[in-house]
Amino acid sequence: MKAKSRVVITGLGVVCANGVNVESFKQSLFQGRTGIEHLSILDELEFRCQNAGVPPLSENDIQSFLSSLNLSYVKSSGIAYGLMAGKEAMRDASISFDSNQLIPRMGCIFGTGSNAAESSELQNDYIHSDRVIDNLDILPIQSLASGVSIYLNKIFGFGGEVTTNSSACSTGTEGLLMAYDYISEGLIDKMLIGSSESSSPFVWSPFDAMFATSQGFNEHPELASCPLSANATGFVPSAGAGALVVESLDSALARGAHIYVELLGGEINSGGQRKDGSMTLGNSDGMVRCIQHALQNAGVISNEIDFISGHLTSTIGDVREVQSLYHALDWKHVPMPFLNSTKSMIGHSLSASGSIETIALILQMCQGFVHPSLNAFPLHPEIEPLVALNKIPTQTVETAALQIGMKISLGFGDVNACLLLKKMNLN
Amino acid sequence: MRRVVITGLGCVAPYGRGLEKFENALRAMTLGYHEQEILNGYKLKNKVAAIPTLSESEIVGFTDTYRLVKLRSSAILYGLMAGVDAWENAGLPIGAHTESDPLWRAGTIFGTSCAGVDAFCYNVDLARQKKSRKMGGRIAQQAMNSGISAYLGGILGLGNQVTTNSSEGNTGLEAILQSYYRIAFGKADIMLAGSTESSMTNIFSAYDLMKTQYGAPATLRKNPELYYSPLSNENNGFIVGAGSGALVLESLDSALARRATIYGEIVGAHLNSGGQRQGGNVMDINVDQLTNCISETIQMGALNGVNIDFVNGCLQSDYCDHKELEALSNAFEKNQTTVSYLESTKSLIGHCLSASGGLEMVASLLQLKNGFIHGTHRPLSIAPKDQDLLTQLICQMSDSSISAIPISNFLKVSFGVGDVNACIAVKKYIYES
Repeated sequence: MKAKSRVVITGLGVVCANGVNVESFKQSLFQGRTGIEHLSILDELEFRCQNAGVPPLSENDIQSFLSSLNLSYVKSSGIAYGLMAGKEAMRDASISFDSNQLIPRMGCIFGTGSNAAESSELQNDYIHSDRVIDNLDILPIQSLASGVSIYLNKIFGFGGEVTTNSSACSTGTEGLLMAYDYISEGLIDKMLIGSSESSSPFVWSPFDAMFATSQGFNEHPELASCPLSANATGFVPSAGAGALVVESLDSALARGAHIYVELLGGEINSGGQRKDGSMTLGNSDGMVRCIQHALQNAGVISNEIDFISGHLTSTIGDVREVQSLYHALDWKHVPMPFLNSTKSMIGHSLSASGSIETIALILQMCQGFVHPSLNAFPLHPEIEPLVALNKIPTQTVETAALQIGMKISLGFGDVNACLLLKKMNLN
Repeated sequence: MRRVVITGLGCVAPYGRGLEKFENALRAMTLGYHEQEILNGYKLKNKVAAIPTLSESEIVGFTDTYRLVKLRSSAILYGLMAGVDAWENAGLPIGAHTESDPLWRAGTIFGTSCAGVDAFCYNVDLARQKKSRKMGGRIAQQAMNSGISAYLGGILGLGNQVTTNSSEGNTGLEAILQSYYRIAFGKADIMLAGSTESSMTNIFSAYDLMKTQYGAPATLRKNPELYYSPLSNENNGFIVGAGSGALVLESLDSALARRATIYGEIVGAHLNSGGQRQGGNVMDINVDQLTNCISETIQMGALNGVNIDFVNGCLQSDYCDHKELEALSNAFEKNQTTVSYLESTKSLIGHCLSASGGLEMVASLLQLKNGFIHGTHRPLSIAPKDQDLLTQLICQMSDSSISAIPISNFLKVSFGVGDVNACIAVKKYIYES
């Protein structure tokens, strides 16, 4: 039987609430800077939660980026973010492309849940009103969930599988694990993996309607996202994209690529909405099993994990997540690693969260710091007994030895994804 | 890589829900598309579409049984019907709701492009009027693109990977191939694989506006009974449909252990992209890459030098048809493979967009299992350059059904907007004594 290839990450790109590229994202994480703001549009629409995390890009910034790619007709902010992040990641990985050649043995899985928001709205207006809308013949392509992977393919010309995945909040993490399987089994050498979500308020309104979003913090956006806390009342929605180049170790070494970390593998599963699970809150057995199997698949044991980037959304789900981590990783006997929530700074970017937050994890691991989990204290009373207080940083831990890191994502539909990363120590 | 077979089928085709209806219609070559009154008032130039016929009582009966409260998404409804039917067709039980563990080794990859649009537009209307609170708590799960897989996961109690893929016309076959890999790699034993698409009128309106890069409308503007014709010289454009097709994929070991009915074994699989280069584009195909996709599938399935009983083409009755035939021809020549019949299920059911791959695979498996070939509706004659290729391949695109013919294998090809391709080879499973 052929040995499986080892898999590494060689490029990163990000656009999110507190950073419009990898460097500014890293700075913001290190400085503990929130990207969450009060948005007047949400006030006008009378949303319960009027705070959100939107990438700090002007309409002009986005338009000139799209123009440079001859894609001025792209109305979906999610597609624009995905293209920005994808471009940054490919450049970071030093993968060249041109308009005539294919990139052989390279594919792309770029996910979303609601990138179609803006174009669907325009399409609806075209049908039901006299509103004049440009480029109606090309707009429908943005209403396809695969719009972002279609336009990434237009720019880069991948020769392998090119598609879009959707599994709600676990989308980005799931994409990385699908890439892991394809690459380790030798089906392909490289993949551009990521996910994106639009900043249209109509992406967020359904969550606002079901009391899933943050309540009572409209005057204090900087406090609104408080994962792990007793004060948490719901998530702060946000938008953006994260992109990663995932590659076989052999391919990376052969072309002298810079390697960030090794992707050791992980697990994707579901709680089936059975037992204590439902559409909106996961089955704890499913979470525990996902974590345990992820460790087994990655060949890692609990006491080797130095750092966990939680899903931790600032909702009631945080309690169940920490309980699951406690049981799966046996924190009764094994010292707990660092635990933080990037959502405390950027909010919940839904389908984009797994990608953006895995990038945050990689940046922290490589530079050896742990960003604060903002507003985590006072901890939720059901979380406090389960954790070591000094492992949930309130300020940046500026120097930390982080060999092995774990990312967990939990999505609507009771879907779970968990992956393990290891710092590459190559001479 | 483990061996993978197909043990269950389910569908909601334009003719309605159920395999029997579908098979009867395919054999009789009943056209599933016609002018739809419901499309009046949507600024469409062409009001012909293939929309599934479901009675009010069928719908209410289903939503009551599965306690689907306030379901707004037609795509989720179709996908759930097809998915549940495939599961039951496979002889698999649906576990009691709260008590049981999920089925850890069973998952789903169920694709769609626009399933969320019905719920999304409802949400926008309310939110703009500052009445978000009226939409209730079940819109987010229907507006998100993964709604269909989430709902299926909850009804069937799936504990493995539960996700949705999207690649427009390539979605269905891609879901099946991704599921194939999940099982072949040993990560799951059973996968419900399929795809669905919404019949919301906005989708028909959107496609009605789409143009090819040659500036022509992508969809048909003429009477389909007279002009919807694969491989013709006229390339009139396609007709849009909706619905869902679903398969249960299973490891061979699991299927044999529970004595499941086996429709066929997946022996060849390939996914690739033309990169929108070398002749490819957002709305066009890179012939070399489609050729490679088919060729890799043939080689993986050890079908070099073998006869393929039929190819179920993508064949959507537009300018892509000829390129597809070129790619097939190149791939067959390269591998010294021959083929008896080429067919277009779209000629009967229209282009059901993301649902097409699922539905056309169900059609192909029914033909494999029950030994028939459905005819291709082709009111216009085949273009001379295409007829030449067919002659060279000694292949027929029969305009009438062949009701009793032994079938031992087939190949299915698909591609979608964005220049993405998929190909699968399926053989009848021979039980080893």
